[in-house]
Amino acid sequence: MSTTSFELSPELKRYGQELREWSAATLRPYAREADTKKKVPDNWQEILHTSPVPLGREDTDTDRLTPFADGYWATQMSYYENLNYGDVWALGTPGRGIGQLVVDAMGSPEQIKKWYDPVMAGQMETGFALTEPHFGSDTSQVATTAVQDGDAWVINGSKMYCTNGARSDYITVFANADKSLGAKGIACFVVPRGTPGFSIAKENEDKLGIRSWQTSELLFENCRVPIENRLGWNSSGPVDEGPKVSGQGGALTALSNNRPNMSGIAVGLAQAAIDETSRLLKGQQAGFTPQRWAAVQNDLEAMNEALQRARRINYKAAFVLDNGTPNRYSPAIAKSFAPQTCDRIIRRCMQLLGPEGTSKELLLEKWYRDVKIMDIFEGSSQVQRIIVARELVGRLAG
Amino acid sequence: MMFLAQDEEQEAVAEMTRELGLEVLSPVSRDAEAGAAVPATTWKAVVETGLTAPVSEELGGGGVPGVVTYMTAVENLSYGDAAITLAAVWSGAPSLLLSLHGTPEQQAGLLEASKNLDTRGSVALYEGFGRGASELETTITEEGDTVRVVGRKVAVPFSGQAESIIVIGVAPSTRALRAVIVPRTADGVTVGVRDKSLALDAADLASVEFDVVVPRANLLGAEGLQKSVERLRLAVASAQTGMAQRAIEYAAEYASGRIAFGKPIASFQGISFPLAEAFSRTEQARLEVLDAASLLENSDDIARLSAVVSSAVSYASENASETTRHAVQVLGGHGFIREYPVEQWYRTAAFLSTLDFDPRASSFHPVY
Repeated sequence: MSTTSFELSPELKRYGQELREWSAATLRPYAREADTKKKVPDNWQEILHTSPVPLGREDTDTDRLTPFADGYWATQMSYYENLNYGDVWALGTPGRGIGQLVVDAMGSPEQIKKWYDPVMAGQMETGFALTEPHFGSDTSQVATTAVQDGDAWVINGSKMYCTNGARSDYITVFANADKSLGAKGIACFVVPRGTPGFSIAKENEDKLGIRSWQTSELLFENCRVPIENRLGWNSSGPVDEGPKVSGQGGALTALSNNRPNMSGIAVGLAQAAIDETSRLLKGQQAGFTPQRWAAVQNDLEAMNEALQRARRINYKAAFVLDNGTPNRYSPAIAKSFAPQTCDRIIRRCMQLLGPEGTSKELLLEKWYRDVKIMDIFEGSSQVQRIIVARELVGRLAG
Repeated sequence: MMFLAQDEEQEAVAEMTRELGLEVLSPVSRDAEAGAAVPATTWKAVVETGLTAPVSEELGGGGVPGVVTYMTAVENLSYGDAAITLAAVWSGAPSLLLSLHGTPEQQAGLLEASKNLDTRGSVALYEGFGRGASELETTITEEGDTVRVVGRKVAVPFSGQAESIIVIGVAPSTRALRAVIVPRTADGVTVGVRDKSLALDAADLASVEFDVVVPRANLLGAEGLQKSVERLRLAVASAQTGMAQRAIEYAAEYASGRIAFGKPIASFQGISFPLAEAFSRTEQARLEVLDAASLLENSDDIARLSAVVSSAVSYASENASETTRHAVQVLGGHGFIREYPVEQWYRTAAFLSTLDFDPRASSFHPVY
């Protein structure tokens, strides 16, 4: 018997199934309103509380998601795909964010204790401020500056697309602390909410999709934080015991590990679109000629197969992280395949249903708008292709 | 003899409509969507071209433009804004059909009506299920002095505003194409939910069910009717093509100015090759529309005409969907927010791609 298997453990499989059924039945009915109002339901905690399986929520300590035998990242993958099968809004609820991943990658043990552990214990929410209006993928262009002034860093600059930006307990802000070093001068600073000089320019940007997810424009004007709020530093300066990760590297590592999960979201949405479309089409078979009905069935089959392909690489990307054999290409392939493919799937589903498939009575048009971001944030598929190409030809690719 | 340049009239129309599209339609794109209506001054400017709601010279109008000229106008207006353009084209479609196929009684007052900026016209054409014009299942049956109309139409424009709707269907005995005027508020006309959609809100689209009896005098002439219907279908391909062209040019300009990794992102092949492919596809789509348009003027082979129109619509829609998608990619985060126009093009292209979709004309395939 082969040890190789794509089968998840029965426990993780059951977890995924229960999560999927619950999200479709319970989360989905709130989806339209979340989109229209650009915010999650006011009673989101109450709604999430009805989940039959743990969600790893951080607003309560009775909802720990203990990784299954398949591994932490494999468990995360199942969570992302199946939670979003219902709709994307639950991911936009106040939550842990990804700032703590940066703290984990770049922080000293002391900082990890202060800003990572409490997040994982559900006591803190984080924001992540990297992108600025003039750059996205090229993180070397950070123009926000941090200047040391006695026992403080003074931060100046503006950031956009900051998840949870207007409500988190702290933001991990990337700023250049030494312009003479170019991109090597980029460092990361923990800026707690309420720090003077830190203001919210726009609470929630007006987006094509994921409209209920809070992404904010933030402004830092002479914003002073203690010297030890620079990751990798303490009050006397740089510490030796922390991991030696540069600011840019820290940001990229945090993004890289999370990337396959974004593909998982895309797969969840596309599967929801296929299932919804299949269900609706069943009642409409009589309207199609036999040839067209056969074409419709072929399409549905091809779309399901494409999603299976996406899942294989998504779980492979999770597997290599879980097994301590990370590589850069697995997450990159995962991130460049599913989002674009899932755009096509959801569009095709709307086409199969005709113009009524785009109606706001259904959610396909919403999911079509939601899924688009998966191919933009945390590294576009263009960037992913460069990462994959470097696997073959090194730095020549770019 | 092959001839692929524009004649003088087409050139003049192209120039005029491109300018109108960019200077009058484009600036009010967002307003038209937010208000689910085209602003009055914009509507006036489009209708006054006489291209979207044409009236024949015999009736005192400016004449019905040739199909190539008509498609040229639709493409260039759509370069400015496809949603406003199609709202005007669809509202003007009854004028086109009545000019070419109306009885003298139906044509009486057409000239005046076409100048009325407050009224909206409507033609109920699409049925979904991939049906082409020759496969429509809405039946239009003569019963003595009356005509019975039975069927279900999708994406019927101005479903809450038009005084009457011209319904396209077939005679059940011969399956020949027919068109008949049905008052929108008649008993037996049931307008579905007029909710907002992914795009095109200004056209007030809804599904409409018909089981209605109207006077026989409401029937339009059947001669050449299918060609006119094919023309209306092809207009969507032109709109998609104009919008795709705009998206490409917009993205190219952005890519030329946006710096990443030390140079304009346009210098990365990951950006420029998909743009080049989009440009190439869009040129192909334009040629396919042009081919179909010229055949609509020059050929009477209805089966062939219908097939080339279907193919052009399918290709132009697929192209516009993928091309506007790449435009969003090029703009990245900016492509995803409403301060920039590309997300609107992305939605509009996808919406239009569902209108006249035939599952046999293409098939799903993943990215790689």
